[in-house]
Amino acid sequence: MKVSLKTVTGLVSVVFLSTAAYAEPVIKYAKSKPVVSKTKVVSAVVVQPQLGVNKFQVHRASQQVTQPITIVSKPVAQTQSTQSALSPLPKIEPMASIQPISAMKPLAPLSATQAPAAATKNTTPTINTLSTSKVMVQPIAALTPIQTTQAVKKDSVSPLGKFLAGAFAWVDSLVEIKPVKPWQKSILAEPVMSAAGINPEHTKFTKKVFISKEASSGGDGVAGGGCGCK
Amino acid sequence: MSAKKHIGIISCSALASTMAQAEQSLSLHYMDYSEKDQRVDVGDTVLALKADFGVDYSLDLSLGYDSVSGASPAWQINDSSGVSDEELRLRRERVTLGQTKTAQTLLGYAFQSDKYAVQRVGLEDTRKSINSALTVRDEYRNEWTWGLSYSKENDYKSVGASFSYLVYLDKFKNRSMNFGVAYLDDETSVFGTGYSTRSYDKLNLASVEVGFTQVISPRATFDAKLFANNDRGYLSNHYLTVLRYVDVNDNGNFEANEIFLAADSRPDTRTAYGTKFSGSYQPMPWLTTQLSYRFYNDTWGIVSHTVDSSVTFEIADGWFINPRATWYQQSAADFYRNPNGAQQAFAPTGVASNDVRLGEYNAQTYSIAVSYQFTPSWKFDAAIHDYQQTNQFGATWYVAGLTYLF
Repeated sequence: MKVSLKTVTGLVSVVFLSTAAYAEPVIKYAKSKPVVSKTKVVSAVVVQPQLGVNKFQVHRASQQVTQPITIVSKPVAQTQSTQSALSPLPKIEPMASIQPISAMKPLAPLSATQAPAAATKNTTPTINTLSTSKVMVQPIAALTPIQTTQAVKKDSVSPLGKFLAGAFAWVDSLVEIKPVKPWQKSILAEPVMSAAGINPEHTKFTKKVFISKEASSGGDGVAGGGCGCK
Repeated sequence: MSAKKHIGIISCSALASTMAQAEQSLSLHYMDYSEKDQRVDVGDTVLALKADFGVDYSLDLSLGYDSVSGASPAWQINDSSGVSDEELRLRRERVTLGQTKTAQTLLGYAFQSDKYAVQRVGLEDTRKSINSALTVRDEYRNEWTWGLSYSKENDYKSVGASFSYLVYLDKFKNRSMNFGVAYLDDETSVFGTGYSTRSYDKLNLASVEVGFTQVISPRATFDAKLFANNDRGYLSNHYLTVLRYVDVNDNGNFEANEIFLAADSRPDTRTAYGTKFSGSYQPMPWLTTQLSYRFYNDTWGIVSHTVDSSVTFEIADGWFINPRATWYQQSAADFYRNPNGAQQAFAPTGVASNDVRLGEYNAQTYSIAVSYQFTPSWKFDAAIHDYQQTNQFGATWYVAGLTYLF
């Protein structure tokens, strides 16, 4: 079946206009880089077709886009807020309506013996669907991770603790001790498990007697007070 | 005097050992101590406060009041049959002459050697003390503890400071080390020649301790410590006495009428080292056991071993019974001599002591304690202890107390 030049031209126009309409926001973002700080949040861009418009309506004759598309623009970044709340998206002025392509006059009938110059050209439209060059695809939306005001501590062990842990690593090689998780330590937190026992005051009095009546002391914690009973 | 109870060092040791409980409380406890053979009685009252300020700060504070009364044995001159003023004057002259022959303090003289006897010397004293410890927890939950203490008696004053640092070695807080240092600046009363003068001498104690704690399982822990102490200054007991020969006639012989009453004399330095291992284990929810062993030795020649065992039964909700036993064994100090031995008098110079606490003996302590938390905020506890040494010394004490938890 032969396809007229008019039809091909119309199809190409539809394809071109459709692509341009949806690529517009991408092109815009590529040109203007957002300034993002650690405390800023940039929400995703939403492209919303204008209500009432379901699809492009293209008339074969006019090749005209009958309804414009309203594009929701990228929001302005919030410089002060550290929260993750999204700011309302400001409106962008709708782009100017696309000028309709002037109607193409029908070509004069071709003589049987003379082919028009245009006819000698390869009329089959070729569309390069693959590009050999690498094009950086700009993300539609740039998300900045939420930063808290207090830095998250990486380690729960102090540098001295890590150093000493290395010195006692041989204990693990000698005896297999399974790590006890914090939620398993309810028994260890009981007063009865402490070194002084369930009645620490009793232990204190007993130590007093031992210090007074025996000639040795030590090993019961660092002293905080004086002893003249020796 | 053996009855002196300058125990601030132990007070704060107990404070530091209970820091891990992090339970706020206000408690009042009383101990009634009596030595067997009607020697010395002590009444000891302690008011203790444990408070948390947020999750990073904890304060331990205790106030103590001791009252001591009774009599303690020491060499004395037995003048129960009477002595004339003339003899007393001659004795004083003899002491003055003997003091020129030795640097050791001479306190008395009797022309008859059989006048010397171990007698009980009466004493009465009170002691007031205050101990405090502040714990600060850093971002890693390691603990920094600063301690201060002060105690005062009629003839003794003690001021002390301490610092300890608890550092965790793993993120689950199963392994930790504790480093501690303490320094005491004490002052004691000292008798001069013939009990005619009294002065104050200083003594200082420096101690360090390094501990390692390991959580073995959800029901068991293990602890190991190394400690060292160094005492300097007047380390003798100014209430105790010894007998010394002094060659007052310079004939090169020690004769029966050349025995003098002298002050207890010990070295002015003492360095001690030791280690202690302990563990806690709860095999059943109602049964908890604890066991510890301590080894001690010092430059005075004393070596000791201490084994302590404790079992706690939760017989009902809030009811605990805690029997405990301690076995102790000690060797004698190099300069100690048994006052009941054959050779009772020491040389005119050098260290010398008849203090039975420095002798060789074993000791056992048995106790049982009961505690009951009768409301969520109130707990009552009581205990009875019996202590007996193989050198005839023994004592019994009772403890009762009330604790308010908040």
